[in-house]
Amino acid sequence: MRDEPLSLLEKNFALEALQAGIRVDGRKIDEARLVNFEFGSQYGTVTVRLGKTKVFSSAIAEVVEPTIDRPAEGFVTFSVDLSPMASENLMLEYLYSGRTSSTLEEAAEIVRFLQQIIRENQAIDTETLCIVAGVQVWAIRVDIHVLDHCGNVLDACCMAAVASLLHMRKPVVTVVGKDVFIHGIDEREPVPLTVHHLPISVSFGIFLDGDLIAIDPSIQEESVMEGTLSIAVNAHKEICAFRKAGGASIETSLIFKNASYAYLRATEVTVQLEKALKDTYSRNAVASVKPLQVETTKKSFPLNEQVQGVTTVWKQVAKQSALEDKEKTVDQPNITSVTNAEMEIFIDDSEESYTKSDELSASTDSDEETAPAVIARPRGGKGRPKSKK
Amino acid sequence: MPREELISPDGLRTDGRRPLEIRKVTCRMGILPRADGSCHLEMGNTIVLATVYGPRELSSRQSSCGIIRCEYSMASFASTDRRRGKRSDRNSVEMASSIKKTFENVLLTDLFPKSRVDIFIQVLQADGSERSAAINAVTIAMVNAGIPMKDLIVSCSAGYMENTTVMDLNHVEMITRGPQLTLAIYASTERMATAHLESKASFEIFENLIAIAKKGCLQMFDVMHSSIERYSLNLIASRDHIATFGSRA
Repeated sequence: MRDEPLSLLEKNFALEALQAGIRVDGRKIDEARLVNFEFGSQYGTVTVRLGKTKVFSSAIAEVVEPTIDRPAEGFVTFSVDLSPMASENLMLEYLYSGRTSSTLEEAAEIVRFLQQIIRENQAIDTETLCIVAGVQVWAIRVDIHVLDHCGNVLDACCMAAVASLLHMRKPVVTVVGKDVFIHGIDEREPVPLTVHHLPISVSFGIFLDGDLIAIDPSIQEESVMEGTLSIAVNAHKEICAFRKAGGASIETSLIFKNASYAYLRATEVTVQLEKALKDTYSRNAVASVKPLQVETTKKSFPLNEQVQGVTTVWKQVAKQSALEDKEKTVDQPNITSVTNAEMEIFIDDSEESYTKSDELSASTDSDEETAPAVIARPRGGKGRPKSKK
Repeated sequence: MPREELISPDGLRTDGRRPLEIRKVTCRMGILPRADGSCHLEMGNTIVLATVYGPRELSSRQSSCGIIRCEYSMASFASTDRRRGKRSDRNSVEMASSIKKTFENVLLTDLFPKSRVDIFIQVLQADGSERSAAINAVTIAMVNAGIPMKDLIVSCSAGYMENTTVMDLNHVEMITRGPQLTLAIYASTERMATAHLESKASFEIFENLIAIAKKGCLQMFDVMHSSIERYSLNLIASRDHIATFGSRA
């Protein structure tokens, strides 16, 4: 166990309160904290608050090559960033273990749990993420940043991941012969992902050598608890994942009681999530869904409508990465190799010499007036973007 | 390609077992003389090697009770794809931390303050239920190292396929991605230590899986217990031999 910066007195207080059937923050044993979803202006971004715990998540789509054994399936990948700014305890953990954020045990556990509840349970239909079988598929990347660690980060991360997958849209793709056209966000309305079910994770803290189990532990309770129990349930009353990783032992008969608590909580959260999503859409319908307007200031630049679409996507990606860089302290590779500076070059660039990125290998045929936004060809060679003459 | 049949009309599984039958378990203790405790466990074709070092001095950090470290890795030749075997991948980190937490609570760590116990697990051949095999192997290695424990932890997996609940899954049954549960319980109190469910299951199936996995754990315990007993009797016998040898000289 790691050394907590919490005093013995505070720990005992939390424990005695639990024994008395009331918790430090005034909740009952079976009462979870309030959850709040706040969707961002970009597709796929969401901030989830679970009590004081705060988690930000963003989902983006990129075009990649599929694996050989599953040529017609896309990917959904997750990364969880538990930066030291989220809590003092994490700071200590970094100091003692000398690990980086991605290999931190807690982060690895959360990612594994997310993979299990979303990927392995087929919550997202990965077959609909296929563009050209064996050549190009969508890879959805969900990046989760824990901003404030006030207990039960796992649940908050799961809710954030599910919410941003629900909110995210992927660009429309048309395939003509061997060419793949990816339409810009303001050219064609992007489409949501196919979500089969919504797994909601509900965690319990185990106290007093397994005799007391309380839902949704806060950070103070986490420092006195002897283990956790996480159950992911969906609205169809299916258990998507059940995890008790060590800790104090419990009677197996208690589990079924907790599973039904988890189900109640999951339905509650699902309703709230759907309501929040609906609210966002109705608000956006008034204030225009289009997240970004393209400034076509330079008249000399032959920007046709389709190309505008591309720049919107790219600008968004660049803005996204800038936003993410601000959010976290550690460096992560950029989403695409396009940075803000490169963006400018891209816009300022004249005539037919456009950049060709790794992810969206894009080029435009200037002689073809009716060419749609992006022409993505199967990747021929590896390496950095090349300009095409 | 026709779908592979997991349970034959006679009710037998792909490797000829009945649904509620565990694989042949063989274990050898104390095979590595350098380590304080070691165990080579075979559950059918799954082979796991667990070694335990300690309790030994903890250099960096002072603590009032002993701490446990765990490392899990899969040999690159353990399965058909060679990509596996990295120690630092998320699966292994997650597995190691789960095993660490399981044993943190069962070892009497307050008996050895300011010291640590290191657990190393290497999967030599992966044929399903690696998680249970690892937990069982560590338990035996702990016994071999003579580290005081509250109870023995035993583990077994259970899965649901073709309307049947089966115990101790092999690789073929695992890759079907049906509901599968790995359960670890305390052998004498039968309380749940660790549980890990993969793929979604309805409440009824889940309840069933727990019951079957628990039965499997108890079967596993019988085998483990008898092999520990045999090993200990051998040790005692050899000590007698040495004692008589010494007196004669």
